[in-house]
Amino acid sequence: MKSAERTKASSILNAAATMSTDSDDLERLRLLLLGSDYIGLLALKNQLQDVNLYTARVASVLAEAIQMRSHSDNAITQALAPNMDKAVEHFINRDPQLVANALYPVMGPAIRKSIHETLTQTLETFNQLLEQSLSPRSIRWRFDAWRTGRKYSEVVLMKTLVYQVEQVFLIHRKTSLLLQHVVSEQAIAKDPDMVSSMLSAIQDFMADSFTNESSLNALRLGDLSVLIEQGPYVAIAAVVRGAPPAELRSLLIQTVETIHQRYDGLLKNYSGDSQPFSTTQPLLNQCLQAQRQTSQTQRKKPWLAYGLLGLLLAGLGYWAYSNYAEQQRLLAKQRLWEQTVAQWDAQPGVVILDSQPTEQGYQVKGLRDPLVADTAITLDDQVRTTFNPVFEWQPYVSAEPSLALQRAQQLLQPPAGVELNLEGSTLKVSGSADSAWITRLEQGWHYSLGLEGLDTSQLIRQDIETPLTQTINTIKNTVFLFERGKSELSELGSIQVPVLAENLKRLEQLAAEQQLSVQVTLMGNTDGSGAEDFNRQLGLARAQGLVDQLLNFGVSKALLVIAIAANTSPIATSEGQRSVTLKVDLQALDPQTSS
Amino acid sequence: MIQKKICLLGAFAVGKTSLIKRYVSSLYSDKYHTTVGVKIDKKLVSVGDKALTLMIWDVAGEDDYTTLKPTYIRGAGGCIIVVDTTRPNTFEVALMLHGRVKEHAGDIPVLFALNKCDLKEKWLLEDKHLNQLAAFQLPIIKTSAKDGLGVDAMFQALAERMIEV
Repeated sequence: MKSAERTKASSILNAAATMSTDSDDLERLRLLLLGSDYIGLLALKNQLQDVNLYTARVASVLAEAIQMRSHSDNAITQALAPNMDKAVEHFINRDPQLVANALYPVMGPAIRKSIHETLTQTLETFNQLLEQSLSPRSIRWRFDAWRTGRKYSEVVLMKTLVYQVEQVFLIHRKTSLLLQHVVSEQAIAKDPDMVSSMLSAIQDFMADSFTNESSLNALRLGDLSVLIEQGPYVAIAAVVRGAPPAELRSLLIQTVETIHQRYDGLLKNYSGDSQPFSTTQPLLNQCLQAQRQTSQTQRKKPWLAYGLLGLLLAGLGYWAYSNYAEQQRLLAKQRLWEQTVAQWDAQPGVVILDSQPTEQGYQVKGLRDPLVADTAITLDDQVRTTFNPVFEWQPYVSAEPSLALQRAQQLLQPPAGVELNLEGSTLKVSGSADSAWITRLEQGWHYSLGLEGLDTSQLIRQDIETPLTQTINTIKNTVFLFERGKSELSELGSIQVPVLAENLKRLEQLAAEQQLSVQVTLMGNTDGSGAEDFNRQLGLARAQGLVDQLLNFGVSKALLVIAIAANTSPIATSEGQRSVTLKVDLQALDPQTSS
Repeated sequence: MIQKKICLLGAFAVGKTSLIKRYVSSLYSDKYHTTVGVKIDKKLVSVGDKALTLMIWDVAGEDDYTTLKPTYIRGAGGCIIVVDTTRPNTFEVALMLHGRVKEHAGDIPVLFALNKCDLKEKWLLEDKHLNQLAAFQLPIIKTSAKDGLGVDAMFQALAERMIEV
């Protein structure tokens, strides 16, 4: 017998010996009969009854028990669910901040992703609207909306679904293997297995190359685009021809979510067998069919491009026109300038040598006769503002006739009563002037440029209070009066005769000195009474009588001429009418006759 | 139909692309093309009564400048690590890659291909190398993409091991 067993047996005997009462006898018997097994049973019983011991025992196997039961059925989950709900509720009520903190790392990316998706969709929609809002097509659609009483957005949606989802791939993300693939009737699909793997490889490549946490969600090749939507286990890739609307992406997201819900277990344990996923076909077909296009895709006319081209042409036209107009304006300005310069040049006493445009205006160089006044250069407001001409004159002397006369006027300064005229290049002087001026004229006229001759035939030399004029006046003032019907000189007349004779002789002498021819006319006058014939005879007789008397006193006969008054008025009967009056005519001697 | 993704890994210019080309299209070219990123091929095989589609990922060779991207081996059902028997340093790369596979793809079937066996006169691997490989208790297959030695057998062996798992 081993020592351990010996000890055990002795302890049993000891225990039996200590039991004193009758009831203890039965117990002692049990102990003796069952031995160590009984003690073990007692210990087990004690373990079950003692709460602390039992708890410790269960705790040691609890986790394993739950694990084992979970494998067989869902009972534990169902049993725990209500308690979990209450526990979570209690937990949240107790300290919401704690929950917020716990959820933060999860919520952040989730919210970011959600916002990003929403923004992307909005942007796509906005893009579409922008593209459509300015085209003639959109105007037509607005008209359609108005005509049919529908919302404009509905019409746009109906008309803009110009795309075709050609293929949809359901891809297992981890292995990049194709789970399911659907293709539209018209489209041609090439080796979807390869496409699936390659799409994943591209995704990985992009993510690795740009170390970006977010994943590739669209590829574009011409009018073909691949929209990719990722879930934790699967990704959906839709190959779309045309412009996919934002709604398509929503549909893809929904499909990914639905597939995750329904195939959760299968996806987790996927090991290359795609057969179970054939039931996803209807879901994928929905992506294919729900968005299938009914109306034909129309090739958009590039209105924007036309518009731009039109604008460009209009711009070009405007540029050409303004260029042309500018040239015309410059030409007109040039013509006006040339006209103006020609006008100036045509003006007597002005010669334009050169005209140059400068920064400030036009510079004009030329010759100008000092006789031409500044104001004579016509410079109206238009010319002044347009050209702002600056003149640079050199003085010169012009031989123009109009200036020759002006110059002669300035040089000779004729007194009042003398008029200068130009006939060809001959200066004609008329009127009366004193001898001093006439002398100056005769000596100075040829200094005035442009004159080739002088004509003074109409100029009368008239000196004031010279002996000649005094004599002439005395003679003119001498009157001989006669009695009615008689031709003999009166007594007074006889006294006057010698004085007159002396004056006449002086006159003749003075005239000769001044190279003037002189003639004195004796007018025999009668009053109006009597016959006309008699009167004429009487007038002649009276004048002849006086002439005879004067001849007696030695007056030159050539000097005297007899005349009678022409129309003697019959009414005038005053004494003055019965007279002889004297008239003196002076004339410059003809140079030829004088010689 | 079961699909499996398998990856061919190995140092740069050990002949991964040539092995795949030989296997998939029975072609061989001496010309060297470097693979950028990854190239994918497909081959149908049958193991017993089961049909299997192999999606073969030809991953760009490992060198000092290009390191293996874990995303490419993630989700692979099997892996072939190729060693160039004429270049012992490719053996070191193979060992390193084996570690990477275990790290990123888990305990998947792996086999080693000793490629370029046609160049017997240039064989430079030593017994210690082979012993080291043998210690992994993984299949080691001598191959030559040039004359086709062991190529089909190698892919077939991997396919079978993947089906067993």
